[in-house]
Amino acid sequence: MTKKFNLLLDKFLINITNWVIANKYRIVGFIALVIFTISFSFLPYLNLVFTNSLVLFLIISLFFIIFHIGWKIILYISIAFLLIAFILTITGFTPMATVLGDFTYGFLIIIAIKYFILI
Amino acid sequence: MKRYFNRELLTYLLFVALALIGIWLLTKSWIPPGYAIAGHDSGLALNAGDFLKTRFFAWDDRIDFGSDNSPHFGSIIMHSFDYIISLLAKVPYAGSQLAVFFWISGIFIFSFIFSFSLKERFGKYFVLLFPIFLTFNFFIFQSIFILERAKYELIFSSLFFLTLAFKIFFNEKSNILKYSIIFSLMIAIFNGGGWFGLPLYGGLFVIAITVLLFFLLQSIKEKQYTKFKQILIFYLLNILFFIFLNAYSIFPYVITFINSDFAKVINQGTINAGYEWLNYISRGSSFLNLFRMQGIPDWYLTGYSANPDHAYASLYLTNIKFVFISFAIPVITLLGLLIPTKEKLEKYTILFFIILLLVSMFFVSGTNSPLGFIYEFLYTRIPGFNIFRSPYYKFAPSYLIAFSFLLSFSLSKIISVVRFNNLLKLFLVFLIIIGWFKYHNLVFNSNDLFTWQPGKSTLVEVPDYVNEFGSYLTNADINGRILVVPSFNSTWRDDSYKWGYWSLSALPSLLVQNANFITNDINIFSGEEGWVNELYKLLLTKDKDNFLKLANRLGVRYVFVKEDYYIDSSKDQKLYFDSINWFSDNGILSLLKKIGPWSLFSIKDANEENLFKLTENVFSIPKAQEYFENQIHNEEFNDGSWVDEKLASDDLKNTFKKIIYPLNCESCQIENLGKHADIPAVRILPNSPLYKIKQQRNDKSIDSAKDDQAKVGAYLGLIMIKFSEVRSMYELKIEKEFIDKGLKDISTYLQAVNDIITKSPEGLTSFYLASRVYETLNPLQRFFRDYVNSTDINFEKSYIKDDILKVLWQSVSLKKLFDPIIKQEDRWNNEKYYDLSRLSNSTYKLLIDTETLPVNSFGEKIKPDSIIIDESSQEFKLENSLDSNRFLTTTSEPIKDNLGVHFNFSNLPDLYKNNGGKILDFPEGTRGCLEGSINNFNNSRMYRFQISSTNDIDNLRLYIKEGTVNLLGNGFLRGDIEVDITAGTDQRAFEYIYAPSLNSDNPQIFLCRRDESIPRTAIIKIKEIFSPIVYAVNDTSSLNNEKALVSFIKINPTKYKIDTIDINSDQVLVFNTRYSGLWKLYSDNGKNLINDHFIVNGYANGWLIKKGNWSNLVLVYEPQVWYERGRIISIGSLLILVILFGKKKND
Repeated sequence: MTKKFNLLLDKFLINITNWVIANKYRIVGFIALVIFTISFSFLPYLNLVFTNSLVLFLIISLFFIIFHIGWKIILYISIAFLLIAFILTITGFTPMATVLGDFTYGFLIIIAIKYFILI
Repeated sequence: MKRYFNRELLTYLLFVALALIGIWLLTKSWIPPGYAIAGHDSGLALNAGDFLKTRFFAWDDRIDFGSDNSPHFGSIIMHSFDYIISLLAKVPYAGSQLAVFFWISGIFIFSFIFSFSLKERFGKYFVLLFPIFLTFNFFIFQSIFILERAKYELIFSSLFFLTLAFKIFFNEKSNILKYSIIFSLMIAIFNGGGWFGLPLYGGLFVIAITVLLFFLLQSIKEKQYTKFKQILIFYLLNILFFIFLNAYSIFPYVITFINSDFAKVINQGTINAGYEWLNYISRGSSFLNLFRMQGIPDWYLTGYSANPDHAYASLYLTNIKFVFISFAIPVITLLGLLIPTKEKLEKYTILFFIILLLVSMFFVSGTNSPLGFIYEFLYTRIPGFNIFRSPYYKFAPSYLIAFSFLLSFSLSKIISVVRFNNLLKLFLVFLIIIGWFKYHNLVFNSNDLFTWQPGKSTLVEVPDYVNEFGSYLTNADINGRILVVPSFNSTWRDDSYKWGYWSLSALPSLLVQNANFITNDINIFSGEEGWVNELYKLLLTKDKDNFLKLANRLGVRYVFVKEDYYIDSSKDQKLYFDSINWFSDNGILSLLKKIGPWSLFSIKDANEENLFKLTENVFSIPKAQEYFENQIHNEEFNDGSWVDEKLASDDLKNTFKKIIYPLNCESCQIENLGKHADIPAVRILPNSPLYKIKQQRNDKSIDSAKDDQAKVGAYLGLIMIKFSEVRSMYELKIEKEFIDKGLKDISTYLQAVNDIITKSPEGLTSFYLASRVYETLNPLQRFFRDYVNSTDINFEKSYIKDDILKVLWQSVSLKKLFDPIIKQEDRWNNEKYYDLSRLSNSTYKLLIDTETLPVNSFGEKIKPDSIIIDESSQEFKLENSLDSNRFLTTTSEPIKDNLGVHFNFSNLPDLYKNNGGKILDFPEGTRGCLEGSINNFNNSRMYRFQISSTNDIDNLRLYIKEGTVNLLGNGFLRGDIEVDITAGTDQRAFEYIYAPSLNSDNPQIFLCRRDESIPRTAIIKIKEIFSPIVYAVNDTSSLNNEKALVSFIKINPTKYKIDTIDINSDQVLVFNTRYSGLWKLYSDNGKNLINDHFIVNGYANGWLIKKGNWSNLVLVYEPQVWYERGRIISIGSLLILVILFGKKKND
């Protein structure tokens, strides 16, 4: 059992490593952009616009764009966000649920663009 | 035949028939026989036929002093539907069950046409589901209570537009001309009820823009531009045909729009007023709520909590079952997209509706979204966009269409991939429809559907006497205005009845078309309201002589009394009915007709229809002083016609018999120094990279100041800004170098003000300048003195300390310059100084508004002891007594090169009434207090409290409890205003200026020690701060009291023919109807326009008629002329398009 698990883990690690090697420039670029976005959001006056939720949305969107995430996966994520929003709504965390609704809207824009490109 | 009636088509027809039967039964369950939908802002007439007749005229003379009707020509067709439906339903009113059935069925049928047109692409289940989702949802159902026909019309048109747009998209060859003709005719019929409803086009605009964008994107992607060209031609033809077909409504409105509405739309005040509303409406329309097909503004108290007053919002927003379903809807909608679609055009269609959904959601959510700032920008910066101040209601149709499409598509996709046979699949569709109805079940309840506020519904049973009274008025010979009694509620201005009707539109205006009702409703303009309110006041005070005079002047010949009026205060209602009985008993009113609780009285001696009048007695008064015109009843002013000198031509000025100048109380400006200084809010501080722009703007304000006085004003403004910045920088602990720079700037500006004032010493006697300087420097001094007194100053850098002290010193020096007038504060409490320098050398008398005089402890007005002209012994003497006149008149005195006039008041009483000592419990502890009140309290006045004490001065706190003393459930007494008493720096008594709130009534005053002993050594004095309103009147020539009536013939509400006028002197022709620049007076049968047209009496039309003989005068309301021209074009275009369509069909 342990051996099987180790093998699976090895395979997973190899896949991860391969993915990292194949996407090394993208990863570096993504990290650089994330750092830049976060730093940007701390600047005086700009921090009024770049709220935490907007920064998070931008980072996720950057991830989708840089790593060429397919529209269907983004759609699944949107559905998951809506389900989480449902749980947050019934537990009284409505403001947080609202933010997830905003994210879903943003993801739909990305989906529409990707959908259009693929037609 | 077989081709048309195949089995499938019959199935669809059966579906539609079943749906229509269902809608019929549903509407039947809502509206029992004898009930009607009426009121709120539905515009549903109680007599649809009569109301329709009024729509054919650009001027509506039935409401108040008349109003422009030119934006409503487009609603002729909608009100024709109302009328036809009322005939079919055999009821007089528009809001019948048949009407509700007609409009809901319309949405269903047009959505079915749209879905049926996509049947080949999206399958049969889509055809069945889409009309259900689009017809039965919260958005449509929240609008049924006022049957928003205009909105429904545009939903019809939007659906039809999409049907045709996708026909063009799917077909290689489309007959664009034919489609354009069909759509133009369609939107000419279902046009959204005229241009007043232009914002309702929001949804259609979004669809049109998205379609265009979509065709462009598709063409770019496919590198094939045929379809884009086709849609462009479709758009161009539609615009062209639309203009021609709707010329009858466009032409008159364009005239009105250019003349007045454009200025209103771009007015910053309108934009600002609408901004609050925009945020209010957007509070619930977050993206998440829109994904849940909710977001209806009425549902939410705040963005996250349900409105407890809404009939069913709480349940849908909190019940876990309903919340789950609301989240399941978007999840299902998105899931359907995951099922593969092979057909390219289908993919494009889905993409189109995703884009439409996203664009619509952006607009619908208004300012409530992460993108709300863009909407805010569009609203505030794009001229005209502010008409969309209710984004949810205006853009929701496109959002709803897109959402319903995607939901129907997803469900039909899911059903089609389920491995059921066709019958089971159909059963599944049936289950979905039943589930959808079950989910919306609550909104089908008629009690909830028509209830818009607890206890208020638009579903009413109209009493028989309403229609009987309407019939009586229609057949009666009514010439003249009818005053509605009781007056409307002055806050809400609603017309509300005990039998349930509530509306902002006066009920009579929806009932008859040949009578002119006048009241203080929402339609009345400020210039008119004063007159109407005065008439009500004279009625209530039983001042019969002045009532008759004013009624005659306003053209009021009848009084309509409604005993079923729902009024908050039965006391007010009783006062009105007592007055009516009194007037009736004294023979001033005589009963013409009484039907149920409604009565019509005629006013004695009101025999002339005072619509036109020629007058020589023209008086001049500035526009801002309009209230004077309707409040003054002194004999010599009774027959005057008032105009604003600023708007008068030179010829008109020559006709003035009296010129009235308002005088400014100069000394009153220094009575309340620094108490209300507003420190400007700071957005950009000196450490910001954007500060340079701000600094440039500041510098520009000084450079652009034309004279020394303007420069001082600019410098004082900048001192406030800089002080505000420095204060904020201290709070935010910003680098000292920026604070120092700010202090240095303040110092420079203070020096500049000092230099200007000392250069021209006449400014030192200016009360205005003194008040400006004090208002600016008091808060600044308070802040820096507090800072200097605090321990923080010890840790301050020495150069900053020096700068603070320098600023303080400069401010003290500057204030000292005004000591000669400011230090006489006690003098100015008893003496009021008025500036006369604006008056030319002539003889004037003064008029003093007694309502603004101080009162003594018995409530009696205190007259000035003397009124002395500055630097002379010349004195104005009072001529009339206080008892019977609102305005005191003085003798006429020559005024020559004088500076001002002094009103001296002595014996101004202390208004404090001591009620003795008490021990009271406050949340802070038990306190010993002196309790008192203000004699003859008036909440529109301000009071100066002076508090002194030999022992307790620093141990006291002042509590003011406005209204009656109300010990709450916890038993503590709380003051609405609480002030700590401190000893004045110059050993003067502590002073507090009390400005009562509007709802304060006999406030209780408590002066309390911080322990339980009563502060017996404390002395409270309360004096009224008053500022008498004074006018100077220059009688330029004697009055002519001969009445010259003008005989005329009314052709229709927009056209009058006036008989020959033969006059020996220049006179003013007054047309006693609301002023509009579009009323045109022509002589010689319309050949020559009389140009000198102006506002008279603050609301009416006046023309200067030169002496001589004037024949065949014609008065027309110009938009009516354009309506008639446009009507010819519209009918002509209709005929051409029908012929063209027939020809195309044959081809």
